[in-house]
Amino acid sequence: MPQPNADSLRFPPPRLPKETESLRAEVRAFLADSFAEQAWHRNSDFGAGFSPEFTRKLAAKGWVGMTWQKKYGGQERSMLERYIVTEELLAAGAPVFAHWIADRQSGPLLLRFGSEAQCEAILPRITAGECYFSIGMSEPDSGSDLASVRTRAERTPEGWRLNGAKVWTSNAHLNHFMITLCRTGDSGTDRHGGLSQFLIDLKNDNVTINPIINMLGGHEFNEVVFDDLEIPEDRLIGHEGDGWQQVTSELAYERSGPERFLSNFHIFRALTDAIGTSPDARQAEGLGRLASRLWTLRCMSLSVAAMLEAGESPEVEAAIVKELGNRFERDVVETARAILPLQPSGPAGSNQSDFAAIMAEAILRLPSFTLRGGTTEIMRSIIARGLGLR
Amino acid sequence: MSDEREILSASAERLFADLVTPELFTRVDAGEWPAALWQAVEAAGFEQAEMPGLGVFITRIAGRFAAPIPLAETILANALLEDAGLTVPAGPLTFAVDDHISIAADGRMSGTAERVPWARHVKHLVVVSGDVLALVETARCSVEPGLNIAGEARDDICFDGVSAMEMKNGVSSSTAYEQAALLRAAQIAGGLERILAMTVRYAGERQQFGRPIAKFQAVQHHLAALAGHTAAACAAVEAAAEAPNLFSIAAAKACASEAAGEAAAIAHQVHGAIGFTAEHSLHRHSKTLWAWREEYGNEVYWNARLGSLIANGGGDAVWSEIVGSGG
Repeated sequence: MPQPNADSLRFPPPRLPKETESLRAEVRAFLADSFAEQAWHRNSDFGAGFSPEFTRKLAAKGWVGMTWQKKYGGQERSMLERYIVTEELLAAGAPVFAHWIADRQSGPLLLRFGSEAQCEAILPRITAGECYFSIGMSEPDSGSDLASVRTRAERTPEGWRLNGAKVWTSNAHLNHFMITLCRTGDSGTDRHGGLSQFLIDLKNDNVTINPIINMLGGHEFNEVVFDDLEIPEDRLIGHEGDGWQQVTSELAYERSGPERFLSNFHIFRALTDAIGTSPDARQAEGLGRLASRLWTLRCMSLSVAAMLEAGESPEVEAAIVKELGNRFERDVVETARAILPLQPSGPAGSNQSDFAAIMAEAILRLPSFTLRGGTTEIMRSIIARGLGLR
Repeated sequence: MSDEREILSASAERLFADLVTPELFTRVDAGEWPAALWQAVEAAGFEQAEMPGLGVFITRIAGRFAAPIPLAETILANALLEDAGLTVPAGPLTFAVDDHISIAADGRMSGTAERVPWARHVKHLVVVSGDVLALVETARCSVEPGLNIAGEARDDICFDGVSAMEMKNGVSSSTAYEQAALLRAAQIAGGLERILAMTVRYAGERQQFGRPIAKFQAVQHHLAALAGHTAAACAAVEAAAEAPNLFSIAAAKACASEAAGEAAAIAHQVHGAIGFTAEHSLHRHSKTLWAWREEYGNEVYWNARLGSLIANGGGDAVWSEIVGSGG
């Protein structure tokens, strides 16, 4: 039997340890209390709700940076336990954006490559729910082709001087730090050399932050401009020239998590209520298809999480989860349209149901899901490479 | 995968690769019973595999080869008989799950079961109707031969005037139907793995415009989609075998049945005209996918059942139902 690269399709069935059930129950109880108190706008897109108040409450429970060492305020819990917390947060539609990036990738990046001084200075503030991070990868001329970044960092006697600009920097105007990818030397033959990562203090460094208003009329994106920005030596993260390996390991954390298929879960939930307990045949089929796909995606995503926990690098599996997950997120909206016709209206409209309003928002957010964290086309290329085609 | 399963997987792959040949399919198409293949399977004890774990595992491997024998059927019939505490007859078996068949207290039966897999080739069949299970001798029934789209025997069996050899109350026809669906889903998962491997290999060999077609991005994206469908079906089947219940099995069969159609279309597109010939083996696998996706409920059937469950529970319960059904 010819089986080229069958390894790229390994999704061993996930087995969550029994003791995780009490954690899940605890998270659900916390979310119920928090919702009763704060009444956040339910949206399962991790990028939809920014609430320092919520993040601080979550941190007080020990659920921000929960896998990190105790000396940094972490709880030394497992990746699977973190998975349970994140999926429960998203399913409940909680406002998680403030800590999301720091918890998911910036903190783990510092733990892996940062200096002890950097970890001591920053990680305890993240686990306290007080310190939020932006991602500094994309540039005006570098989107999917990340290796082409042109922001330069040059050595100075005191440290580094940065020139260039980053774009699509979510919440740079609200967050405290950004980890930025810069060119520090020659790219070499594989184009991956000569890159380094730096810590930028968005509150105190002399950077210009220009808002970029998105098509919903919201301000999440920014352009962050470095114009002869002088930063001290200790802002370099890891080693000079290792930026590409560091940034790709950072991306591994963000590919296959529950945020890649749950972004429209709040629509699925509201759709179920709007349809009621006597669905017609088409409605039952539509709801059921969403349920079967979601169940399958969650099994796959948990399986990848278990492989990550075991120290494996399931890069292709993660790309498959993201590609299928993003498609499912669109399926939720398309299914809702098909089985419960309505006129989506602007958020300010008064002549609409709550469901029409959240549908309108979901339709407008949808185009970003298949772009952020690596486009669908990039995911397919990663899968094709895993199949041995490239 | 455990060591035990790895050894089993390797020996099953070898057995099927040696015996399920184009010549065998030609003989089976002509109506012959593949006796040597069945004997080898029995000698290896594959039909004794326990449900759900090992049974699903071995069924998926047989699915990779579209093995034209009632292996899934015998595995399930054995499990049903053993659960009922009845004696298991030797040889290949099949089953019919149909609540319209009547089995009286004295064992007298009536009614017709449609499209019973491989019925003409087995001496005994297990019938489950409502909460009654009956073991029947095929020779006493009238058998109306039929075929599925892949040419596999799917015969109508009339039980009028037949008496059960043995029977047992307290079984569940819905559970039996779910297990049958899980096994078909496992066969589909195996079939998908096979056509993914065939299609990736072919794309690497076939040259057009001076290079292998695998080098074209349009083809690569087709194959990435094919890999996604295959991965989803395999993951769903494995997870359902680990935690079998109405929800997980419905999701797995729906997912596998939907993937079957999508994947077969991509495999044929990438293979081009050669894949449309009788000579090339792709059609063995696309045809079984098109047959198996309909058997024991297609994606529309299972999704509708899941949807009724979801609607009944209401929006607040959706998440707990997803989480509570495996993983």
